Amino acid sequence: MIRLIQNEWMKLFWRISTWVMAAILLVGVVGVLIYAATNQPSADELPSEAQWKAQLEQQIVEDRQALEDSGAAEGFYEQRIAENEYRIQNDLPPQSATGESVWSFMSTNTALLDLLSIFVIIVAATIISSEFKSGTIKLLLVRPPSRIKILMSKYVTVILYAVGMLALLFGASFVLGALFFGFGEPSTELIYTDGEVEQRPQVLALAIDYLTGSVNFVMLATLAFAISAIFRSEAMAIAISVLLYVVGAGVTSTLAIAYNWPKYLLFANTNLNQYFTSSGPPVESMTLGFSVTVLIVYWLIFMGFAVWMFKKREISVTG
Amino acid sequence: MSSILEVNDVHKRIRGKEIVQGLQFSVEPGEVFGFLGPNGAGKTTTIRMMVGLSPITSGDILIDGHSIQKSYAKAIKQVGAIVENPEMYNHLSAEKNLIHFARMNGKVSHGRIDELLDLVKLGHVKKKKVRTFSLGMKQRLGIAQALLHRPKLLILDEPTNGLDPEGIRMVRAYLRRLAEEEGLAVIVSSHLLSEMELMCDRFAIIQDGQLINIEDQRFSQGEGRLLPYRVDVGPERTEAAVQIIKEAYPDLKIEEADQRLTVYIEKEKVPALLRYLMETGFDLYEAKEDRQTLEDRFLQATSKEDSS
Ligand SMILES: Nc1ncnc2c1ncn2[C@@H]1O[C@H](COP(=O)(O)OP(=O)(O)OP(=O)(O)O)[C@@H](O)[C@H]1O
Ligand SMILES: [Mg+2]
Repeated sequence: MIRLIQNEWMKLFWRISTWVMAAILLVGVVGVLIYAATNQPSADELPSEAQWKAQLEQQIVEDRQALEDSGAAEGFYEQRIAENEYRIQNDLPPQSATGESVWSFMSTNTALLDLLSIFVIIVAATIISSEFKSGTIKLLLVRPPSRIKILMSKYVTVILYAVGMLALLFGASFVLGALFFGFGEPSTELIYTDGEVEQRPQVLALAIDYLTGSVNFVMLATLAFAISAIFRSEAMAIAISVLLYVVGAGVTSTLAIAYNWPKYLLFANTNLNQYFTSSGPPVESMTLGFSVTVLIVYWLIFMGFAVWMFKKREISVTG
Repeated sequence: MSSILEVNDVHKRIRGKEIVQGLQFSVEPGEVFGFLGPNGAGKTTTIRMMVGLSPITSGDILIDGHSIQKSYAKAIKQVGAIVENPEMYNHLSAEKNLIHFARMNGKVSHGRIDELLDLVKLGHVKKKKVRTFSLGMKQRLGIAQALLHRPKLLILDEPTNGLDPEGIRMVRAYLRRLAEEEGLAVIVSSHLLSEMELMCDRFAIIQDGQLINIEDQRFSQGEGRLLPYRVDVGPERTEAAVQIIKEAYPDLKIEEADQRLTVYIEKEKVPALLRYLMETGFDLYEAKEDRQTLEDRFLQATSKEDSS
């Protein structure tokens, strides 16, 4: 099994596209860096405590006014008012008053998790179908290792690749952030649920972001992997997986406004971060435990499908 | 000696169409066995069943005594194969491709990999990506891949496809050597008849998924050099001539067809036989080596099927 994984890794490693993806991810991090560095206020421009408190007070007044005038976007204004009041009371300066630090930089870079997910999906979608495309599947399957083992070695490789890319994103953000912005004082994130405001250290919030992001793309990679085992065509596998990824969450949350059943859909559950932030789950009755259970069931279904398809099929390159 | 490959009444049906209909033959260690048939005869389909890429509808295939259906890993261990084209990983070097397939068999021996690269004359390009290889080079790399784990049975679907005459000669010589010196059993499929004649000890002719004939080349070209001689003593005396020859040469294989007789005899013994026939009072109209080529026999065998 180790040898099979070594093989898959070797094949992946020597593919140019693997490196292109890593390079694009790095370019993304550098892009964010340039943006953050050019927009960063210098130390003497940072507002003093009295200044930022005054700014927040001002904001609160404006928000109250907006709330009275229009009545639209009620939730948004209520949340902002509550958070700002909480910051003033507890002496918790907002991001704009502490300046950029490695933590805030890494937090911004979680946006790149989307890009990373797409890359992982592409690798997962092609790792089986490319063998069919090149015809090498025939050589791969006429050796003693069972088809299940070959399938599993490919899956493990996809996960390793995902972990590697995540480490790259995490590492590059950390190193570049530390170099350019220093460690600074981590600011505090606020979470607003049902009118209550809670605080969470930024480092913890960051860890939750990256962890839930990982769960998200592991699920998507597994889906793409199963699709790859079923369709056996590179283009089909990539197109379907990426399409699902791009529209899946949107369609699900739209449906969730009107119905209850979308809570059983994959994309209502892939973003576990929803339980840790102000946004909350798309359907109210959902809990973290519920989502984890649903995800495990989906995972089993995807893997079962992949194994079943890969085992039973006639291996022909044309058909 | 037990057969390395046994094909027992194998059938293959795809969407109601019977592509292979009850094939039955076996291959012994140390022989090169040909698989001959026109396009669409079912050669590739049969080979795909032998290596487990395609499920067998009914019947069984045993490799070294193990059923490919029931104990796949044990059976396939003894097999090295190229099915259809020699597809390799284009983005990897020749050497890395072999490392890849060596890992699939267990431990990797770099010595063995170099040995095989030299053998198929790819040693000087082992660091080059396979993408840059010609078809012939890929074919040779495919053969190296198939031999990597020292299999007992080598299965090659059209191994000379895309090779130049020099390459064909090399493959042929090498396969013969493997069979003779190392006792490897080799199955090659082809529709190049002349190729089969030079390379194989025996070959099966199949058409429309059915076995039409198994020819044993050792009869006509093997060490004993028994060549078929057609002797014409006049239609009415053929029977008598057969009797007379049998009295003097009880071991000879004699065929009688169209009132003419064919004896399988070593070249050196031909004059003595002819003298004997003349001395016993037969008129000899004609006596010549029957150079009916494999191609004739092949076309004959397959066209017989067409007209029926
Ligand atoms: N997946 C399939 N579905 C339907 N028919 C098939 C399939 N695979 C092969 N066949 C049919 O089976 C027959 C035998 O095909 P096969 O490829 O075994 O022939 P072959 O002897 O290898 O021919 P060639 O000399 O052209 O390589 C053909 O008539 C082909 O159309
Ligand atoms: Mg064929």
